[in-house]
Amino acid sequence: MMTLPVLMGDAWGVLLAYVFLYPLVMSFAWSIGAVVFYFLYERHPHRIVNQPPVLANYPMVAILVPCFNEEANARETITALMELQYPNFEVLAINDGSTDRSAEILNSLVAEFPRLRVIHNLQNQGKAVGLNTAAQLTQAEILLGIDGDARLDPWCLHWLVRHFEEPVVGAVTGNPRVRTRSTLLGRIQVGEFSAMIGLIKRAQRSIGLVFTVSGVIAAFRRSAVRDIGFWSPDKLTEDVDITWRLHLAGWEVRFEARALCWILMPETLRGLWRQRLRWAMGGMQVVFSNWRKLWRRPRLWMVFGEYSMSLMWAIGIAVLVFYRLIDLLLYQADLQSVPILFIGWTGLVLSTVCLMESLLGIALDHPYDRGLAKNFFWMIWYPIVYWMLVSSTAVCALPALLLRKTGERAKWISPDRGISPDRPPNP
Amino acid sequence: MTKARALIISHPELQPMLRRFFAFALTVAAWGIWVLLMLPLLWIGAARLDVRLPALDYFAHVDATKLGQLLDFLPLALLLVVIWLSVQLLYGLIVRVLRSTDKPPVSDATTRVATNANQESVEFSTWQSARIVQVEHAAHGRIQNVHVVMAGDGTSSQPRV
Repeated sequence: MMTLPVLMGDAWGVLLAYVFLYPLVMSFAWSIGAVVFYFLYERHPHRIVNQPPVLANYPMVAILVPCFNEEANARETITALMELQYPNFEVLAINDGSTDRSAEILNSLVAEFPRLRVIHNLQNQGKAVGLNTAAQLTQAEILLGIDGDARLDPWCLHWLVRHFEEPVVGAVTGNPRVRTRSTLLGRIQVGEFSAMIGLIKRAQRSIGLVFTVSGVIAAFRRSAVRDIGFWSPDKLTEDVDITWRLHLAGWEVRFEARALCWILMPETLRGLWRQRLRWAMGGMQVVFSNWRKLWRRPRLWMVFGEYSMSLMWAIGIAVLVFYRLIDLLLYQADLQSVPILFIGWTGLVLSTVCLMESLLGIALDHPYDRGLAKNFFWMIWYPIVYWMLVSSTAVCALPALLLRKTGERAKWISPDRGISPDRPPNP
Repeated sequence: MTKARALIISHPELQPMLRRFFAFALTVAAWGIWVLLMLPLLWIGAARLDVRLPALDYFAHVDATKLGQLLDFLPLALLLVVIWLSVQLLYGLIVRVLRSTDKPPVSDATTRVATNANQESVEFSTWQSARIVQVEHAAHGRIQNVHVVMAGDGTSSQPRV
């Protein structure tokens, strides 16, 4: 029987080597980069969140909170914002044509909080248009975009704003911490945000190339946003898009580990799948639409190269797993598939490196999230779950993106926000 | 009014007992497999101490030579990563020093924002201080009209339905 390994010959070996070596090498790269970030930026002045450095001045900050059907979270989010210790800010809640009681709740909060202003979009326009509208209806120099279900740390603004004292800085993203920790999926994501996202952001910052700000907490210089023409309404991940356009326009994008933002994440497979599929599609959409402009910024080639390699790896792993599954299902034939990633020496090496990476992530984020170490038990799942998710969303995102109409407006997708006493799981 | 939630929302008891049990049991099993994968290290250690343990055959299907060839590339790959990081770091620092003044802060005058939105600046500054506004957008997402429901001084008008 002509099997895939026979047909591909040496290419098969190269594929196996690539699928094994890429995550291994990148684990080391992210870890080394994160340690460099720690020594260069995070250790100084200190890691005590509630003792931020004194700023030369405190420019006006507008916190933009796009809300679409946020009746369950709006009060909590706005109330937490009013506890910010920064002296000069206003909150702009953007009710983007919600169909629930969000408008009523936000209007009632205006009476309670003098710093709150509310913008009602008469029709649903999508997050990017909501942000653009609010950015034009404020006079603040710094714009901070957060999600309608996020809770900011009281000292978050101090840590973010200090970066804007340097005029080259166009955007600064903070450190999202997962609040929803009830289910296995929730706990795996707690680990992911430290071991993967936290390390990657640190490493990227240490070389001055943050791939994307986190849409859930990202501060922008208003003139920089205006310089690039505000947010793009047709992009599925407006945060990735605006980061790339800032880079292309020559602005610096930074990561601040001490600017904490507590977020709700999906705790069902369906919710997680929808979220990650959107992320995958959005990332590809931005990279595909910007790659021609990369000649202007040779430094971005690195980010483009790394993204392309990770995409190839995700597709490669999908091919191997699919082939392996077929081989296991066919009792009568041996397709000579190899269980390369999960069993044997390769599995041992990769899982051990990933666990070490998780430990490093926990150590770096421990001062900001004291209960993090408790989640290490669940992190054994992280490589398998994360890789399978990345791989399957990449494979599905590609055709979905190609079938999407050019310029189609990106609309809200109400995500699953985990389980809690007021949001019990489905039976 | 909804009751304030704790910062960390951890309520595993809200899940069915069976689901919790499976999550725990599978995680213990996953750790067990990892420990099992680590066993050859024990065998290697035992061999050094001249202790003979029963032979392991569950790695028999894995071609150790191929793996060794793969791992041979690892130090080279790591060296390349370190060099790449160092070059990037150095380049970043140089760029940062050289262009520290090439992006002067631009004052974002209200008039310019108003022009961008095709509006009169006087009216725009009223909108920029209003407490509650309703906004209509054109098809492409640009602001078309703004109705002030509650002005900055607290005076209210009837909202549009």
